[in-house]
Amino acid sequence: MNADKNLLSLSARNPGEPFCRALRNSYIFVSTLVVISLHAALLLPNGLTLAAIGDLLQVGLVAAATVFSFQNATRTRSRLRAFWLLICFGCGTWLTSLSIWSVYELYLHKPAPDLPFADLLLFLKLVPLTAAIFLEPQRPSVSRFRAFGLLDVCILVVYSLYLFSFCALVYRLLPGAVDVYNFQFNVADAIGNQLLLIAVGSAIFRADGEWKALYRIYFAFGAAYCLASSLSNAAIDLGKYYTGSLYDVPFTAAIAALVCFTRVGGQVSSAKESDTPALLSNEEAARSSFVSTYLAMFVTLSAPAIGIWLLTTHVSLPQLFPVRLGITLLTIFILTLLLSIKLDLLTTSLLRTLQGLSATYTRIERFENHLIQTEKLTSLGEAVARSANQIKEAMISIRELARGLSKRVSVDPKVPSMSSKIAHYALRTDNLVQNMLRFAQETPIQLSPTELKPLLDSAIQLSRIAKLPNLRVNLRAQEDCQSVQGDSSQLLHVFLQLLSNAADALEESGGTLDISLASVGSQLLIQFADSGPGIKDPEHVFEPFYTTKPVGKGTGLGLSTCYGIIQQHKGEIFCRNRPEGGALFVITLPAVTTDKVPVAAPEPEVVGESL
Amino acid sequence: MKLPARHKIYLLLGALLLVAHLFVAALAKPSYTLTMIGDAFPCALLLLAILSVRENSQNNSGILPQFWKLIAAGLVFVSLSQIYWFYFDTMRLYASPSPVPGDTFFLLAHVFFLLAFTLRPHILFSGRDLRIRRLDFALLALWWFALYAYFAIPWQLFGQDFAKYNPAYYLLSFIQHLVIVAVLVVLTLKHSDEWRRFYACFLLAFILIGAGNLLLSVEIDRGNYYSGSFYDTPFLVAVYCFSVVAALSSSYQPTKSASPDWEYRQNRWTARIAMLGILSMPIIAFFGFYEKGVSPEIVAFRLRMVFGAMFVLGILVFWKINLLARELVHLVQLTQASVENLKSVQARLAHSQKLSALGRLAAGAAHEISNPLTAILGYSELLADIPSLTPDDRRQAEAIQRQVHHAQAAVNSLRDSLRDPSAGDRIGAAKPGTS
Repeated sequence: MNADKNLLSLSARNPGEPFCRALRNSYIFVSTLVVISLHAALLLPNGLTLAAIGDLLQVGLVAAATVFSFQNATRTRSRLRAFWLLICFGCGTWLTSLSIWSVYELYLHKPAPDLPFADLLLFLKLVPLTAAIFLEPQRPSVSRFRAFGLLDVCILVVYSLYLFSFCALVYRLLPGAVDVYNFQFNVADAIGNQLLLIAVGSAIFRADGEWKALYRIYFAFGAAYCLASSLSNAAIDLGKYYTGSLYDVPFTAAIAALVCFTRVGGQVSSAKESDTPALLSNEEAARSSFVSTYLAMFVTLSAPAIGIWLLTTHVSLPQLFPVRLGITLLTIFILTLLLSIKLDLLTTSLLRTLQGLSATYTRIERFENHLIQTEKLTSLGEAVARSANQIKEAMISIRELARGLSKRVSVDPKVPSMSSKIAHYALRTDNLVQNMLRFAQETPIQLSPTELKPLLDSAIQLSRIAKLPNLRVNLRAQEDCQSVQGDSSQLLHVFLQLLSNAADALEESGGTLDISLASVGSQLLIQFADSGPGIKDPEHVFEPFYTTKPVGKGTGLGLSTCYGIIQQHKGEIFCRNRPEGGALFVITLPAVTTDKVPVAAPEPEVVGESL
Repeated sequence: MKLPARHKIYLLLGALLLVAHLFVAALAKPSYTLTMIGDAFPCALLLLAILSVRENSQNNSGILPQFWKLIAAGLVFVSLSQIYWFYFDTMRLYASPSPVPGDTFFLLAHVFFLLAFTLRPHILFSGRDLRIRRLDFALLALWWFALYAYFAIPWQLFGQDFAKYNPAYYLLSFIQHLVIVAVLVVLTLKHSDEWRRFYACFLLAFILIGAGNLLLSVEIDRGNYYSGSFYDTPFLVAVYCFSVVAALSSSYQPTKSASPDWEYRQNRWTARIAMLGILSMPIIAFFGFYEKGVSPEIVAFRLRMVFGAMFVLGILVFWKINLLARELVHLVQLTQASVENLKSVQARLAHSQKLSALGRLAAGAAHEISNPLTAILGYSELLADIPSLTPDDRRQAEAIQRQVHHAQAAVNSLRDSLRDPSAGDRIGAAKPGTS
């Protein structure tokens, strides 16, 4: 036990604190139970008390394992949940068979009769317990292949049931073949146990970190159980077995290990689950389909092969022939049914992938068409940038000159005041131009604390909406508005776009556009409410290429770009029609606490005093 | 309509053969010679049909070559069955020992025909899933043959019992013809153009084959039939129909194009039918095992056949699962790649969006900049006019004026570039848009 403990603590590479504690507690738990059952077996005589202790201990432990694994299943998601559900299913099956025996022994006070059903459950529990390993819960899940995994488990369950009934259960039908049945049962049980051990052993090699430690506990359970069931089977055959005897001690240890496994497993999560599905590499996809496909293939092909074997050798046991033939045909039927479902699922997901693919292709095509149209604008961008740079340089030197003039001790008092005015106008022009330049550069989004009010002001100034005669723009801003973490040029783009939209809506009829800026909790709320005709379908305006404008006028991309920008700012944009008429666009952006913000926005000077 | 020269020759030869057959059937009495001639007619006509179909399989585009190849394969199987009868009737001078090989060929031929028609040759599609579809049809063919082997063959294998064999075989081939005719009726009704004629011709051929077969079986049982009689006529006309369709459609091209997922949806139904077929096998075996009054050797044969068939069918199913899984992985990777592509295109588009917005912005800005520039100019002129200014300061004021002129020139060139017809039109078009 000690050696085991060392191994376990070494193996966990970077286990968290709760994991280590759980691991430590589990050793204490297992050792305590082993000691208790050892004492009971040695001190108490064969009788009802001992049987009660032995039975209740086992039933209680398996029940605990069932509950814990169920708890784990409720706490986890996707593949990990499937894993714990399988474990829970296995424990539940085991619990049922143990309970049946206990009821006979403790409640009905008679030796348990041979119960094929309980035997079947006892054997069957190994299947989900083994199949769970094949789900490889330690790997991040690839959702597309999850459904197949469960189907494969079903196939495995059906197949093991078939093999068990074919090899062992049928002998119950033969009078006087109980010995053969018992022997076959023991063989089947041993094979099942060893398969479980092999599966867990190989899983230990593939896993690392906490999962490796967890698999080791599971392996300890498997090994102890394997030993216990061989021992007790031998003892039963010799007639030396009674409930609670020394032969039950390894059983108790095994079940205790299983409880620890489910308990400690609650601390372990699946491999770092990323939000975006990882790129599916070739070999990984191949591997995930390899195991399941070939397993299912072996299973499905072996059933008809067994059938043919049965037909050629059925002379030896003619009484069993019809039953065996029947269950073989039934198994073939069920397996084929499961395979059909699998095929259909494959085709369905193929179809869905294909539809997604063709949708993406269509979008790329449309985007590219649009790109070709707008690519000629690049030269314009360069021209604008060139002019803007020239203006900027001129403004810088004007400011220098004006500052020089204002510092001069001049005779005329008008000189400093005039030169400061010149400097002021130069600064404003410079800011305008800089905004434009920043806009022209292709820069990734740069988030810095930005005040929205000045940005809204300059947007209104720059937009053509200010020049429309029959249109009034009201900007109401809450006094103590916080800043947002944002890219000022991108946000300016959004505001310009919304203003231009409003201008389009109000151009002919005229009206008012009310813009309000307010902070609500930790959010900043910007609303654009116009008195125009409203939007035809507000749900779709943010979709690319949605436009209500005549062909050639609108490209239907502006609002979708806005949507993208606001999303990048972790904000929201939506729109609806106001009940009193007109459209309402609402933007919410997360605010930054003002005291931490170094006031770095260059704009305030521009907007502080308007023309 | 202009027909290719070879098709003309085939049609002419076929017509001559038909006339000869009618002539012989009307005049000749049953004899060895008549049997030989009567059995030779279908073989010759089938050969002509295969040749004309082959002609098309090299010319058409889309899925049509595949279609014609499948039709040719079906015709080859029909010919094999005919040659089988011909061989025993004329060369060996006695009735064939077992009808099983000839009937097998005949049944399998129709699986090829069915596969051909469900390809829907009038639709242009990539044929990407053709491998999977072929597998499905291999499954169906195998299943169909297993049914034949289950219901009919035992009555030949364990003592010839035509009273039990014939009904089973007739029923199977009748169902087969019914299915093909139903498929063709649907296809014919769905079209109104040249494809309607195309499918209608096939429909006629298969109705003739089906009806002729039914008539033949009845007359054989009555003992009225002999090779070369008028009872052969429907079949011969049907075979001639194949040559006619091939000639008519020698220049057809697939017209409609289908969405790619249409193929998979089609394939899905074929797959479901195939799986249903496989599922029926164990059920049939189950009932066969408990059937009364069947000799144990037949039961054993049937069970062995079912298990063997299930084994082979299982291999085919896994082959298919493998293909599908590989296809899925391929598609998933393709999707991921195209999403990446979409992202980059979107980024580029966002940039060009910005540029077009820049155009609008610049137009507004040009106006906005002019005002302060005028103000600066005015102030600097006023400054320069102040008489008490030192010459140095005056130079500074003039320098400011020069800079303003520079800036104004830049604004003007900005306006010019916005007004430039090559770029300006575009801006004008994009200006109110981008919503």
